[in-house]
Amino acid sequence: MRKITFPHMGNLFLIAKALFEELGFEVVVPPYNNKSTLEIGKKLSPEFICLPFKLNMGNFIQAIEMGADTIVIFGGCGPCRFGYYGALEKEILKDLGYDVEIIVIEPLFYGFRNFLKQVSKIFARKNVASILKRVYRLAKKVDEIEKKVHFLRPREMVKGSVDKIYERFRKEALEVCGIDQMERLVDTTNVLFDNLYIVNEKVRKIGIVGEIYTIIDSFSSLNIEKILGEMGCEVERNLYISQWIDTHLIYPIFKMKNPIVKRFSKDVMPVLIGGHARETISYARYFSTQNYDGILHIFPLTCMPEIIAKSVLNGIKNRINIPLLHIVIDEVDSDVGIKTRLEAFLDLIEARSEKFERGVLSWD
Amino acid sequence: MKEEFFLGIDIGSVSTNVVLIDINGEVIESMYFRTQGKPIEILQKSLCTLYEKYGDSLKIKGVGTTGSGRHLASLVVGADIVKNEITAHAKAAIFFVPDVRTVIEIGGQDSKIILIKDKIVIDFAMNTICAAGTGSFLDRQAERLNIPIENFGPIAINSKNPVRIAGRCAVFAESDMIHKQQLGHPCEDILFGLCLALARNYLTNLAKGKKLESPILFQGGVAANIAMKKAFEQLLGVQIIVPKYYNVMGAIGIALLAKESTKGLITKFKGFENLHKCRFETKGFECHDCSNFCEIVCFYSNGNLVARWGDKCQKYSSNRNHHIENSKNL
Repeated sequence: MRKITFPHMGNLFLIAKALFEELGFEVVVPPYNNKSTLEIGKKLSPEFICLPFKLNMGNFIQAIEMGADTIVIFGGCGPCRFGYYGALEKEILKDLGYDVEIIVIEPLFYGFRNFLKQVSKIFARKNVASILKRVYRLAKKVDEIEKKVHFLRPREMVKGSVDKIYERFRKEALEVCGIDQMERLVDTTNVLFDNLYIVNEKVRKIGIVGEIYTIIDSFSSLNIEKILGEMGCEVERNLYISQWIDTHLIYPIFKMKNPIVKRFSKDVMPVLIGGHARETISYARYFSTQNYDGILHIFPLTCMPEIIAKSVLNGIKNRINIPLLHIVIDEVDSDVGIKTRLEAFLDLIEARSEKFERGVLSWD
Repeated sequence: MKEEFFLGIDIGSVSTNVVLIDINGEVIESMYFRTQGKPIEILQKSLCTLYEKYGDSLKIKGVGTTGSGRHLASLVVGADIVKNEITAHAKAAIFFVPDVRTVIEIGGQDSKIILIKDKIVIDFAMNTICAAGTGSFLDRQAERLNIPIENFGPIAINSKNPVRIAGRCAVFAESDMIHKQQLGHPCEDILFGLCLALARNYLTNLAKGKKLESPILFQGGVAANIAMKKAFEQLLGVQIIVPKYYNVMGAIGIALLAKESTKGLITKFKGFENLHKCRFETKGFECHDCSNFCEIVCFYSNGNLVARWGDKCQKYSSNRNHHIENSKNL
């Protein structure tokens, strides 16, 4: 029987684990992203590749050492290098002498036959449709948990209680098996969260936009969401895993587009340039209309689509008229620098809102 | 000396600054030390120097710490306010030049740009992962040319025909500079070329897309270099102001913030007397309880655990306050 593994990306492992177990495979979940993951990945990756690639490589090696023999990743075409990662990772692992199969699932609209060929390797002799439906529901629920964490962190009565529950949830998720058990775990965690005492303090709302991996995966973003939560900010980001499924797998089937992206990118970026540049721009503009106090733009070093998004955002700065901070992430281990920037950013927001209360409406 | 004073401490990567201001914000004393990688020792030494000079007559009503070592320093001295260096620098800049619009700040490891309007910060940027355009780069190149850093500016300012040096990355700049040296360019032309390269690098990386409006303040340790000031003036085409206390602006800012935050109430400052007797120690270990492998930092004072941080799950850091309250030797 295949022993399937997949790279980490935030809470993706919860969903992928349940899915593959339901399909009857054995699943090897690599250890959470940590320093040694990055260390391994760094050694094997091209020097100027972005951080997600390095972490992926580390995940693979650690999973192979734990006994995995099949790696499933998503691919994709387009100017972002990510589409090429599957092929590159395959070659690197081959050179290292690992005997593993990499299954790259390309999005549907890049060729139906190829998609079926790849997918048939992992989806066999089961009622796929109903499983996928349940997995989708699970993904939605897991994201609800994450949203709840973001909501509760700045408001919790006993500091650290949210994270305690959340960490336990992530730990226990490794021990349960299948969609049903996972769903039950999610439900019990939800009950725990609902019973937390919250205090009504003044909470600032920060919108996070940027490259998908670095904003979803807390290790790579040096726990920015948690840091902000502890500083008394509620965060909301533009991408969650279920939302990614919506945009990339559900919408194309119905020939639809994300309504927010459609509305806010028309005039500044009418065509797709790859990656999530369009999402970044449109959600930054969307957040600025939605009573947010500030926007964080997070992306890994050398990420082309996000660099373009950054320039575009700077170009339309007077139109969005909201504090905007760009944070570039690479193999940095210490979060002191990030904390300094975030602190200064919140000071700026504070000063600005005081100004607003005194009745000045615009800067420039 | 029965007046009330406020202490501002700025622990950066290269320098440790301590300033003393009075109730009106007048700078009574400013001290500048090299951190030399030993922040606690230097901090203790500088405060002892202050104590020796003024003795018991010095009444401290508030203390603030800033800079990359601010959290550590706050544990050592007992600070009323711990703030980031961007806010502190902006505060000091606004205090000295109320109508300031732009602050250029280049320190040892960080360079920042702060845009201000109507006395409040409206935008800022800080160098990201790379530190090519900062003071330590100049420091290293001066060392390589065997020129004391104090003479860097005065020599460079004589240049009539600066050489063009690639400034984007410190590694490129260095090899480019060596190449120009081997061609036999005079020293002052190379030095001023370096200044221009650094200023260009700063303007393209940090100030990109931002409108720099005068009055522009130039502060931080690099502002001591008159050639850097000239380079910025040449590139921007406007006069640049270097404030009197350019190298301790962060410390002044945080002292002003401490003054505001304590509001005449009681201070958490531990006093000078105990400080030099205390022995501080930092130990670290890697926690292997889960696959996060966090590096935990433990801070001891006279052998007592005062604080721990660095963990993601708060197993260690959550009882930080408990330890502070229970440690009698502080």
